[in-house]
Amino acid sequence: MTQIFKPGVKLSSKVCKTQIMVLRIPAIELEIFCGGLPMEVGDPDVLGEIQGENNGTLVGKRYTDETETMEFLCTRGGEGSISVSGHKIDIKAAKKLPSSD
Amino acid sequence: MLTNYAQNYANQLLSDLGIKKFISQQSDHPALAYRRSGLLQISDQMLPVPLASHADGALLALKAISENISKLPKCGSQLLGERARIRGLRSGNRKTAGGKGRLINTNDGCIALNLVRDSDWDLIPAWLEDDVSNWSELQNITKKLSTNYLLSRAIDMGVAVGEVSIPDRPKSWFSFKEYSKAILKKPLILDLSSLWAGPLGSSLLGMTGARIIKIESPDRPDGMRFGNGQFYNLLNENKDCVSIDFHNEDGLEKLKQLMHQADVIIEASRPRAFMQLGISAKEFVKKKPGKIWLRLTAYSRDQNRIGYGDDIGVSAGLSGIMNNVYGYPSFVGDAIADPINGLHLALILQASLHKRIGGIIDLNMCEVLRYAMGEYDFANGGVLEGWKSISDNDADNPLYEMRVASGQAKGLGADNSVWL
Repeated sequence: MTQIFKPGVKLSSKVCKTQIMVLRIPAIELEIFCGGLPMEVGDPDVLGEIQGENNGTLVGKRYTDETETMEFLCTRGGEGSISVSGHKIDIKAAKKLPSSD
Repeated sequence: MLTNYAQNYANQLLSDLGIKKFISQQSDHPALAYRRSGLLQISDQMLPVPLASHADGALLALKAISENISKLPKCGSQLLGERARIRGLRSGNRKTAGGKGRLINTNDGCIALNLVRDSDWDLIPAWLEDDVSNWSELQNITKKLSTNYLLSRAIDMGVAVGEVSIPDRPKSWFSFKEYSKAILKKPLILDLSSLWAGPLGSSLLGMTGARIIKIESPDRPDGMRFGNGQFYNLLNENKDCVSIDFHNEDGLEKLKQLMHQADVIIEASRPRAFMQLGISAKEFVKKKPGKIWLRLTAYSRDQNRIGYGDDIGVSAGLSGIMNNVYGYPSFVGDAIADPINGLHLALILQASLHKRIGGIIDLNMCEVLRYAMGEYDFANGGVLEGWKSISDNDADNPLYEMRVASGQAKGLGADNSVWL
């Protein structure tokens, strides 16, 4: 089921331990998946079966789509990969270091 | 006006490190060192703890165990105000000297928020779960939320924050897991850190005769390269520069080969970074007796929390002390945790080389700074009055002479052909 996600919301995988925080997202109806199943708020009681090929998620990494319209922060890693209906999601390159602190 | 503050701290540090040496050398009063280092003009108010003298003490201790000391700075405290003096910066009480961080109110206290990169603003809507694009909108929301809620979410997201409070002073300022003993002559140091603390520490060691290779990734060079050039040269002249892309197999292999030749690694990455590259500090130090791996983090490693010099300064208690004394919190110095940590980093590495001990050293910037501040006595207004007049009476004297870089720091990857 598609929905409009708000930045700041934390979503859990239904196939593994992956948890992400939505950092930026367009305000349109979307569906976010991990390991083939839709992600939801709150950890599931029972894990479902992982679907398709998965590279997994790494804690601390940021994930984004090809045009960087959305960004997710992995707050807990797992075996499932993140995908969003109609978008290819990949690891985002690390942010540049500041020129002063 | 000379006092024992610096020498007492130097002797404490040497005893902490298990070195039997005794320093007897008086140094400027803490209030004078604070003013003459430039900290007073950056911060606007006298700090009632002897932090500037303790910076002098850390350098005294480093000199006591180094063979070549002629190139080292005259005193430790002159490093504290160095960058702000070069750039002509002042802090605006609730604003950092660099201008990117602020003290903001919550519904039960005050926190520092340091958005050093413009892109850090992208995280704020997620942090607050609300649309926010400037400081005044941001503060209208944070004043309704609790300190704990804001801190824990920011830490999760990798946003630099610090709480205005006065934590207890830790009993120790480092952790050292000893593995082996060996003599290392003219050690080869790989410095994978960036910005201020790590590069300052390695540059001090370079002045005492160590060979330093600065390692950067080509797509993520030291951000300070794009800041003030004069200051960058001070921290990075006399270092070889190698750039390696760790994210392809060839680059990773080259990094491992360089590590194989190196005696000392300095790094300030997140705990997971080397793990994800398949490189282990423990395996490194076990390869050859005497090898040292120093890990510098903002807070304890298990917190996985980022920080920069100004917000760590707040977490260590400096703004809490100002609040306690003056009735309102303010920033102290310019990224103060950085130069303080640079000094302590150089000292502990030199001490390990001096004692011929290899192993893994963990430094956590918040604890090092809190340790260097000394004990804080809540009822010490009297001390402050005395210190204020000491610095007021010094107002016509010049500040410490500024260091001048003798050469130009090398470009990104300038020495790849030598080392790779």
